[in-house]
Amino acid sequence: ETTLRLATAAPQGTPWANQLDRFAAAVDTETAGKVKIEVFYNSQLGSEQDVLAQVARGRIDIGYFSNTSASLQVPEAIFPSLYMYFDDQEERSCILDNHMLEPTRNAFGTRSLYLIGFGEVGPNHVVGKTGAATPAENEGRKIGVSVSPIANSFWETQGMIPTSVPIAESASSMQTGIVDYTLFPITFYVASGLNKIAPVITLAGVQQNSAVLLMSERVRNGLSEEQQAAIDRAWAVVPATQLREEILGFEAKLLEAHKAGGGTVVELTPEQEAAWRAPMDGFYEKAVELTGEAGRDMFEALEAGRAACAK
Amino acid sequence: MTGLVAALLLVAFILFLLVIRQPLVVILLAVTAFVHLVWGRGQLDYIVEDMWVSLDKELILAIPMFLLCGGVMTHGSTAKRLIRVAASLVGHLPGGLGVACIVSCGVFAAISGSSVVTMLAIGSVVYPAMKEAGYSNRFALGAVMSGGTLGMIIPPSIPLIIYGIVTETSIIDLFLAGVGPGLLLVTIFSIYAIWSNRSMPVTRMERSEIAAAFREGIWALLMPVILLGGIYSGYFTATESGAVALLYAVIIEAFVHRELKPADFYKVYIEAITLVGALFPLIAVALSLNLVLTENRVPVEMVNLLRDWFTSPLMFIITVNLLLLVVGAVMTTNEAILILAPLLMPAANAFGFDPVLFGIIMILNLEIGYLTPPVGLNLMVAMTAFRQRFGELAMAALPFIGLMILSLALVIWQPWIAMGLVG
Amino acid sequence: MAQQTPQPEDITGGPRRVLTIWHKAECWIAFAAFLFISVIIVYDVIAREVIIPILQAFDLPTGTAVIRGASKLGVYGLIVGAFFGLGIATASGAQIVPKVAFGWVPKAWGPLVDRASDVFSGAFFLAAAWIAFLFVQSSRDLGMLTSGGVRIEVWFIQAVMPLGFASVGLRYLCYAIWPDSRPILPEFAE
Ligand code: NA
Ligand code: NA
Repeated sequence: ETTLRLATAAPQGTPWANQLDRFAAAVDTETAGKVKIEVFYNSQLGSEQDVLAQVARGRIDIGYFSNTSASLQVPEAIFPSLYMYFDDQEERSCILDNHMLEPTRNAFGTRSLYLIGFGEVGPNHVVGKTGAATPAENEGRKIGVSVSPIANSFWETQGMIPTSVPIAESASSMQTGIVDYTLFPITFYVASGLNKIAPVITLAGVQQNSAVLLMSERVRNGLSEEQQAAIDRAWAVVPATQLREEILGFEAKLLEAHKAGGGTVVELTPEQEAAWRAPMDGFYEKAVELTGEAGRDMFEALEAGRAACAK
Repeated sequence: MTGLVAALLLVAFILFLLVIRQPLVVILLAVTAFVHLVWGRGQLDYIVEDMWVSLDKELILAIPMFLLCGGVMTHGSTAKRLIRVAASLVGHLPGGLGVACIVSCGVFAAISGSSVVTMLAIGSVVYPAMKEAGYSNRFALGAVMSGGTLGMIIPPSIPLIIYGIVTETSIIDLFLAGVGPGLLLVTIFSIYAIWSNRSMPVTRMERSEIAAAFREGIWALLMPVILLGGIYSGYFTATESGAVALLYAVIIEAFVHRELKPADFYKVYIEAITLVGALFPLIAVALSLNLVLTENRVPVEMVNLLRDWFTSPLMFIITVNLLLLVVGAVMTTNEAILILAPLLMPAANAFGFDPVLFGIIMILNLEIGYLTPPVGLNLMVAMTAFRQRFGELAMAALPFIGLMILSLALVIWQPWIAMGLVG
Repeated sequence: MAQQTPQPEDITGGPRRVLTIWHKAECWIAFAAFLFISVIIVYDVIAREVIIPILQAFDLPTGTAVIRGASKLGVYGLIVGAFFGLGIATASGAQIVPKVAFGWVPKAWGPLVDRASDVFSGAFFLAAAWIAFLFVQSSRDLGMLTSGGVRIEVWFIQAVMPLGFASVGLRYLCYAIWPDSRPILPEFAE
């Protein structure tokens, strides 16, 4: 019997944690009890960045990460969660599930990481004391993000100043005005109480952030082929589309709670959305430039997927 | 190997390391290695990985900034100028110089991140002055030593930064929460200074002296305004405020006060580096030990165990306070925070204590530890700096320890003293 | 904190001269690292709060005024400084050494215990250096990158860990071989 340790930033009782619990149960079933998954919730084993390096080394067996975090280590792996790329959820699911799994798996493979499959973090939105609907409002404003060359480039494209803010300081940085905005998924925004300090959330659809379930290649190679296949099957028991729907449904409820508690939700008008999207083609070229040959391959896979899904 | 045998072996191993006089960093590294070998997967390179992970954090930059800033201020004449301002304002009260000592410690504490630096900077000027003015040796020493400890509760504070890093608590919130208890201590110490020196002769308040003192001291007085104002208004992060304060201090000391020569500048840096070289590997190893304990679910089990033992939050916090007072007696602050905060904070949180408030409670306890034998850093430094017997110093500290315990109790009873400023 | 610690410069003689030069070199490297941290963070604040708003006011491009990942560069400067600082702290006797058990052995054995202590510390730090070396090597093999605004291979900076440990290990072995080159421990430390 083998026990594998799985690390996640999600706290117990959240939909992500429930998805992982379900996965753990499925692995148990699929391997007839030969492989057990022990889940460490709530960043107990460290931040996503730290855990990712440990999964690559084989110290932690499996990790469930936001695509954005994982791409800090594997820059070209950002493309499945490319900023403002997808038109709607249907198109996104089609492209990711049918066309991006293999390219993304190959990208993580170069860092000794095996992509078991996609999940969902939920969209990242701009939150602040004021709305961020139009580029005119945002020009020169500071946004607290986890900085990387691609993230920097995106925010600069939008005329904003990306500023590195540690998670523990997000609330006080907003309060004191070190940053005007930060970027968060709805869940964290509402659950952490950040919405009391920064009551306005702008649903700009900045980034549809996937989750990635990554396993150490070293650990995986130590399992039998049947066990390897069983783990993949266990994740596929619930299709990725359903994982997305679960998270998005949960966020919709939280958003209602936020409104009921006196918070503001800003939805973009078509003109505002067009203004956000106007500079994006230039940004995509920049993103490819920043991620080299491997990035170009990923972007081409994305475009090919979009073309195929449009049919 | 059974748990008991392993635990006994570990104790024997630690005793062996102590007997052959190993540095703390070796002892911690060896203990961490032992834990990995016995309870973990036996891969010692994990320790190095965790050390790296612990240091690769932007928040940690605040520590050298405040160390450097404190160093520059100590080499210059800032302390002298602050004391002159304070003395001109409160010198006419009974025990006025005592109050001036406490108040200037409080102001200097808003620049310096450490207890010893505050005590030395203010004490080296004000202690001889109090002796000359006829204050009792014990009161003068007690005021200087306990005033010094304000350095770690009034922000900026290196122990609070370390607490924030190891427990992932907002350092800015911790800084905000330190203000109230810091002012409380300044008030209580000042009242005590007036009361215990009520029979001392008083001087008259001189307008011209106040004006002159302010003229001389204005640049030094602006320092805490820039530093704390910068943080609270959102111009800078804690780290940046340290950097800006350092720049300001260098400019003031080198060009306005003209007290800082290039050679001093180099010396200040080497002193800070020496401290960082002793402290940072310790921080890294302590966090690495903490990570391997978490991996083996030790904190979770400790919380469960404590929940079984204690029925009420009050019983819990009283016990923790007693524990911390004992720890403060025998350990230095930074090490105590590094080792205990990650274990105690989750438990305190489970009993309903806010992580920020608990940080302040911890710091207040360990602040008392600066004045308690056998390992009381302010006592030890004062022994050399003011050439006093250890016993005399311990006696001098006694009434102030009582006042600090009173303040601690007040903060626990009325948490808004600390949390009022925290959003 | 501001107490006087004996500096190795006070000592003269062959191997001691080597120790002194070694100490000086570490001091200058760490000084450069710390100066770099102070300058880069101060500049980062000035750029954000002063230079960029001015450039914006005149509709000038702001991109070049910003140092990418300044605080991350600062962190790396700090790590380099800290590991050279480990050697400096050792040479200045500023390492924190618990003294609870100092009285447990007869006083006459003191010098012998000190020597045994140095042999043990030396061997221990050299072993730590070896393990750190293995760690850095695996980072390199995996092609690990730094996170944040700077993106370089992380082993390049991690390499300071085995170097720092090795420097301290060798230094302790020197103290074991030439006991009078050992720094005198201060009464207190922090
Ligand atoms: Na302070
Ligand atoms: Na003590």
